[in-house]
Amino acid sequence: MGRRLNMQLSWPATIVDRLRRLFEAHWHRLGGGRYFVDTAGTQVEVHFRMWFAQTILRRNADAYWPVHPATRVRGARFTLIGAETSPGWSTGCEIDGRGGLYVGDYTQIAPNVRLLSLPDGAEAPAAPIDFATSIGRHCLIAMNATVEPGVRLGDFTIVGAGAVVADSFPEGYCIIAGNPACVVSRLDPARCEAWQRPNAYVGYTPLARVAVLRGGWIDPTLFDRVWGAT
Amino acid sequence: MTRAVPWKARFAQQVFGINGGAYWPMHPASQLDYPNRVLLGRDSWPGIEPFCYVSANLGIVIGDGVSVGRGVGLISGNHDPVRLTEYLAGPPLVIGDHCVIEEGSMILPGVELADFCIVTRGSVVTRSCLEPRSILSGNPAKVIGAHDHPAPAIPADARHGYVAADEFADFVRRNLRHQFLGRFAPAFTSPRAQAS
Repeated sequence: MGRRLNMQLSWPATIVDRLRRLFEAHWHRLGGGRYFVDTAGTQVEVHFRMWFAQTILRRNADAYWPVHPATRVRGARFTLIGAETSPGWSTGCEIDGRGGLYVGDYTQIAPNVRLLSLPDGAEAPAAPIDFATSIGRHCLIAMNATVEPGVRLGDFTIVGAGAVVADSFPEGYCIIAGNPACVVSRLDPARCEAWQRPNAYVGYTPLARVAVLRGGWIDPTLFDRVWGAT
Repeated sequence: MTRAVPWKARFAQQVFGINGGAYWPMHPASQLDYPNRVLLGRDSWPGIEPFCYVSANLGIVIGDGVSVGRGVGLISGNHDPVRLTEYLAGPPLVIGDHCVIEEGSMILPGVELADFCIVTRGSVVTRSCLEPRSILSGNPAKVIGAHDHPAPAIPADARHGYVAADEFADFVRRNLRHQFLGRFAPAFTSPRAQAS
């Protein structure tokens, strides 16, 4: 390296970056989706790197939401996500939906989180009829946390860093931490803000067009449980 | 003799631009927010191991010779628990010289670690530890002892990541966001004070 007195990218990276921006801005004109444009600035914006890893390199290709190339998603067909949440958007996550996994709207998931829905060594059911693990809306799962199979977390649950959630907290509105996780403090439901975004996306799909995922990407039984008969 | 930059990290950063905003070597599987709010010492490369998360939205100050393991989280900002899109204001995260942060541990916002501390595997450091040479362990981390291991000396030509030591004061003055560096900011805002 020569002198590096600014924080600009190196010149090859600058060219790659320009090309990437060009692609992201015009991909919908070439027949692709508008997700690069529409999710920019949201908490789960689609990055070109994720799109490339999933669509071209076919890594985690069965996931219908943006997934970091360093995370592993299994059983994406039985994983249902709400609007503007993407389990595995961060690095190093392990998302196992083979037993049925639901992640509610606007939930934030940090790096290295494990969301499990199947006990260790258990045989995966061919098609689960219900969600083994479900996480509510507007939750936050902090870094290195593990959500064990069979756990139900209510809305506005904050899981602390490094927690191992082995019990259900279906009432929500609490901060849980520790190993095993227990309630550290409760939140006032009146103060919690259920913010929403008008043009929200479910992964790569606009919320209004979520029905196209039924069957091809998501198991129809589990899809109808969440989205009704849309 | 400083460690050579791994070709994978260098290629990812300087050709593909993955973590390309960082001024120190980072593994492509690590995640980084706001590289211009990190004040880095010599010979410490947070995120050179994979699966690290350096979240510097409220500032991180890292000392010399800090070794950071795999899957470590350096989290500088707490989410507002009732409005998760916003952050609670607070002081920057400070890690002293020659600390060792073992794999899978997390340093939570506002924490200040003294010099020569060791954070053992998978610990979650929630409170400051101002006693040098202590060993922290557990979730939440407690001081479980002290150690007296000598730290390896930092060579004279050690760099602050990719930035040479004699240019670093200039680099910080031009590029970093000083309002997030807390009490470390004045050393770099006074004109040419620290430049050697």
